[in-house]
Amino acid sequence: MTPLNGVQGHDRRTGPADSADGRPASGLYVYALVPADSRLDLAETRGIGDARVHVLPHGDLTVVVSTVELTVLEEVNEEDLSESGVLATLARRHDEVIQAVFGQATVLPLRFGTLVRDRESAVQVAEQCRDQARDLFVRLEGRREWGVRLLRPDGAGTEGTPRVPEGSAPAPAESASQHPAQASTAGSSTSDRDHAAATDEADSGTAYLARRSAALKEREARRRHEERLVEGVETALAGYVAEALRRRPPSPPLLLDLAYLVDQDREPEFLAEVDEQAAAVTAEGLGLETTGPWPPYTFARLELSTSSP
Amino acid sequence: MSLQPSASRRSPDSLADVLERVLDKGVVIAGDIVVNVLDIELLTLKLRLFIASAETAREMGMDWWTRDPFFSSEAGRSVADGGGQERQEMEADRLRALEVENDDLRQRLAALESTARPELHGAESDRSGDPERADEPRRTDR
Repeated sequence: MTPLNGVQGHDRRTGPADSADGRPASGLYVYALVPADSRLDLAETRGIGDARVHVLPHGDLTVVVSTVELTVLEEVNEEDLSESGVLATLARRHDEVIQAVFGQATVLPLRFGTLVRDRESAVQVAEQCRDQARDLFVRLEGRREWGVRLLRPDGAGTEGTPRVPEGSAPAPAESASQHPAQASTAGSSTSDRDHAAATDEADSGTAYLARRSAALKEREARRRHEERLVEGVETALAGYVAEALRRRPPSPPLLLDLAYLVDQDREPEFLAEVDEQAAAVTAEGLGLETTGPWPPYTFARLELSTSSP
Repeated sequence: MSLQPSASRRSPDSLADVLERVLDKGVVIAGDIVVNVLDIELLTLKLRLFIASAETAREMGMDWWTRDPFFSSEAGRSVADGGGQERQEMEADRLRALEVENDDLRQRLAALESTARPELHGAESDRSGDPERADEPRRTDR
C-alpha cells in the first residue's frame, strides 16, 4: 500500500501557498454544524493540534471550527493504525470535539479532515448547507446513535453438529491411497460391506460422502437458524427506534451490523430490549455487542457540492 | 458528556469503530471551498482493505475477527485436526467473498487514483489569499 504521503506532493503544489516567511499557511478545521440557537460552552474543549474550538454563527446555523496548520493532515499514514498513530490521534480528537458539541446541542458531524481556507469559506459551508441541515436537525433532535452487532463467536458454528470422531476424518492423501481398496469392495455384497464397516470401512468413500452430506445439511440448517435469529433481533429492536441503517453487509462471523437512531426518551426501553435480545442470542451461541451512545455519525448523511462565489 | 448521564456507554469505542464513523460517515462537503489536504475517499478505501487483515483488526480492537478460525491460526488448527469439513467450506466461501470484495475495492481505488485526483485538486490552484483567522470569532449576520 502506498502511503498517502507519497501522493501529496501534488497537493502541495496546487494547494494553499506557504506564507512569505515560509511557515505553512493556516486554515480552519470544520467539525460540525449546530443550530444557531444552541448554547455551546467549548472553553475546555481542545481541537486538532490542541487549538481552541470556536463557533462561527451564520444565519440559523453555527459552524464549529478550530484554526489549524493546513499541513496538519499530511503526517497521516494509513499504514500506522495503532492507537498512538497520527491518524488515530487526529480521529480521536475529531470525535472528542464532536462528542463535546453533541453533549450540548443537536449536531451534524462533518467528515474527518474537512479543512477550509478561512472563515469566509466556513460561513459559505453554513450558507450552502442551510436547507438540508435544517431538515436533518429535525430528524436528529433529541436522538442518539447506537451500534448493535450480532456475531458468531468461535466454536458457535459447530455447536450441535455431529462431529466426526477424532482421528477418523480422512486427510485428502489418505483418501486417495485408500481408493483402490474401496474399488475392490464396491463389487461385493451388502453383507460383506457391513462386515468390513466395523473397522476400516468407517473411512470409506461412502461413509465419507454420508458424513459430508449430513454436514452440508447441518450447515444449511444452521445458516437458516442464524438468519431467523438476525431477523428476530431486527424485528424486536425496530419497535424502539426512530431509524435504522445497516452499516455494512454481513460477512461471517459478523452476522449483523446496525446503527440505530434512538429517541433519548426511549433509550431505557431500547437498551432493556437489547439486553433481552443479547441474552436470547447468547443462549443460541451467538454474541451481541452494543456500542454507543454516539453522535449521529451514521445518520448525518449529507453530501454537498460547494462552489466559490 | 452525554445528555442523559443515566444511559452509560455500553462498551469502549474501539479505534475501528471511531475510524469507521469519522472517516466514512458524516456530512461531506465537496467543491473548491474545501482544502483537499487528504484524500479521504482514498484513505477510507485503503482503511477498509487494511481492516480486512486479522492482525490490524486485532490491534484495532475488532476482536470478533480473531475469534474466527479463518483469521486465527490458533483456532484454525483445531479445525484441521478435527476434520470439520463444513467449517472449511464456510471458510472457503468467506475467502471467496473477501477476495471479491478486495478486488472490488482495489478497482475502485485504482479508478480513484487515476481519475479523481486531478479533479479533486485541480480546482484549488486559483484560490489564494490571506487565510482569515478565526481566533476572534465574531457574529456574522446573514
